[in-house]
Amino acid sequence: MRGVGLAIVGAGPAGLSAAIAASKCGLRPVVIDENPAPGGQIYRQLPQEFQVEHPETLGLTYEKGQRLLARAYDANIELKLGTTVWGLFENLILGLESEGRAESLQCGALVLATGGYDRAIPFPGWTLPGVMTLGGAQTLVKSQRILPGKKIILSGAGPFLLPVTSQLVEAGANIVAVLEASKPMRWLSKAGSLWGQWERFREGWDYVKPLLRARVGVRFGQAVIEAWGKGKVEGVVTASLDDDWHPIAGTEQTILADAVAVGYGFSLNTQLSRLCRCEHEFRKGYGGWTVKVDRRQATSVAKVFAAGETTGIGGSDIAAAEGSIAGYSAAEALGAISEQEATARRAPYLERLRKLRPFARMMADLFSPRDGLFDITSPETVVCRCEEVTAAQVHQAIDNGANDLTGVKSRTRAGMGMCQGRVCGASVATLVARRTGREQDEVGAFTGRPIVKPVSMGALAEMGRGES
Amino acid sequence: MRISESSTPLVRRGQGFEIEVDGIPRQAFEGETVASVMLANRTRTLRKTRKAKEPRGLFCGIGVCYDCLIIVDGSANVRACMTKAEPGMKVRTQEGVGGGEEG
Repeated sequence: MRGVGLAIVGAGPAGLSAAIAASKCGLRPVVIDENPAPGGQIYRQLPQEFQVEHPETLGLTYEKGQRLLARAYDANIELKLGTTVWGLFENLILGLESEGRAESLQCGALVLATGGYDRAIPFPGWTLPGVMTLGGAQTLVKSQRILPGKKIILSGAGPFLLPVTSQLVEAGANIVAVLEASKPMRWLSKAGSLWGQWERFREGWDYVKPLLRARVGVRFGQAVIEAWGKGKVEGVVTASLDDDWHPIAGTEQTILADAVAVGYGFSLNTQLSRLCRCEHEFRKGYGGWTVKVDRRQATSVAKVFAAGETTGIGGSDIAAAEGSIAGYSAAEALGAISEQEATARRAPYLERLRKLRPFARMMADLFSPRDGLFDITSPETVVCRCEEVTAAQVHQAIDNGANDLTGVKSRTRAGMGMCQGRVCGASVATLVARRTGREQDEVGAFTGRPIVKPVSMGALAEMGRGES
Repeated sequence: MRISESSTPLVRRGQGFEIEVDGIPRQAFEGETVASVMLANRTRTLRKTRKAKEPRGLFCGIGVCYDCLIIVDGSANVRACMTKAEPGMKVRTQEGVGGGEEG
């Protein structure tokens, strides 16, 4: 089995920043990512085979991404791309799979920068082809140059809605409605936290400009509550929401659409951190279950660090700063730099985090889905998409005695499918919490199993032969 | 639907070629995922579920949800969103778990 000093899972802003920091301390970290190119979701690039005529037209985020990628390519880093991490075992042994071949990698220290993904709230019709997440729509347009449909509706809450809408508009998409569940009146009460966040304003303005040009309006305090169609989405029902985001009866409207993108914040990839038994903390508005870290980005497990969204949603700048800190801390843990040097190197990033965090706090507070919106999950709605488990079946399991996620999983199979509960985890937790009157952090999370992403038996057998 | 190569930003796709989707030749370009090729050719249903036989399509688009499973050159349960299209590839939409037997 191959052994390395530092392994980093995730090649987004946090993982790359950690790798760059560690390489400055004389290490040659291995960065593993499932995607064919580094950058994570935010700096997802066009395929190598595509050619861009005027890269400067791709915008601020693209520019920032290119700068980070250039620094990563200059640094002494081994990138293992197109590689899925399917397991994490004792003594920090990672199970990897790439192009049907499995291998294991033992590391001295580990940085988990596994990021997050869109959280959708189940509603009738959300499994129809044509209904997708905001991130799914963004990936199509941004890195594949494909429009998700001819008449597109976007519905969600929070700062991600704007860039996705903006990118679709710029690509010439026909946007028939944009629905933001929150209301601007509440934003004003928090405006104090915006003081000094000039870069955020610049970003925001960059996203708003195309909407103004194309005269795409945003409907505030509304949401898609149902999608319908035969074999694919053909339209949606929208409703106005009250202050607690309950759909208001009598405000329903039908709109025709062949593509619907939804997203209410994010969920976090905590499968690997659970496998190595890191402590987690439930933080509403920050992605739910987050990996608990200290000021050095150290988790509760020795030699395991975490950075970026998986420690709580904060955006790419926070992720990058946390990544740098994690990189120096991992270098310290491996003896590559002294404690004194590590402290000095971390200091400017800690200062940067101190400045950036109030904005993330405001976002978490304003856009975390409010309780009423969960009413859109009707009893007949499929909640676990993999195992086709409805909300009614989850309720039945709760009424039969399940009072946490593990109980629901064993009774219904929710969370046991191919995605391993990544998509339904937050929804099932909400159903259990609401029905039992318990808090979200009391109902727990799906426990990680040794194989967190599907890997073929053939690949595993081949690995066993190679190493025996 | 593919975005025109003449719209801003100007992005040129890779070399064109064909892949087979459920026996029908479909236009693809280097750099595209199988999901993109299928969407661009108006194939929205990528699979049917095991129990309710419900149609499913691209959902998360980033390899997390495992809802876009297809059969590529005989291998079932392949994520269309994470798989690059390659010349001569034979893709089939997946029924249930993708084998001959439905589980």
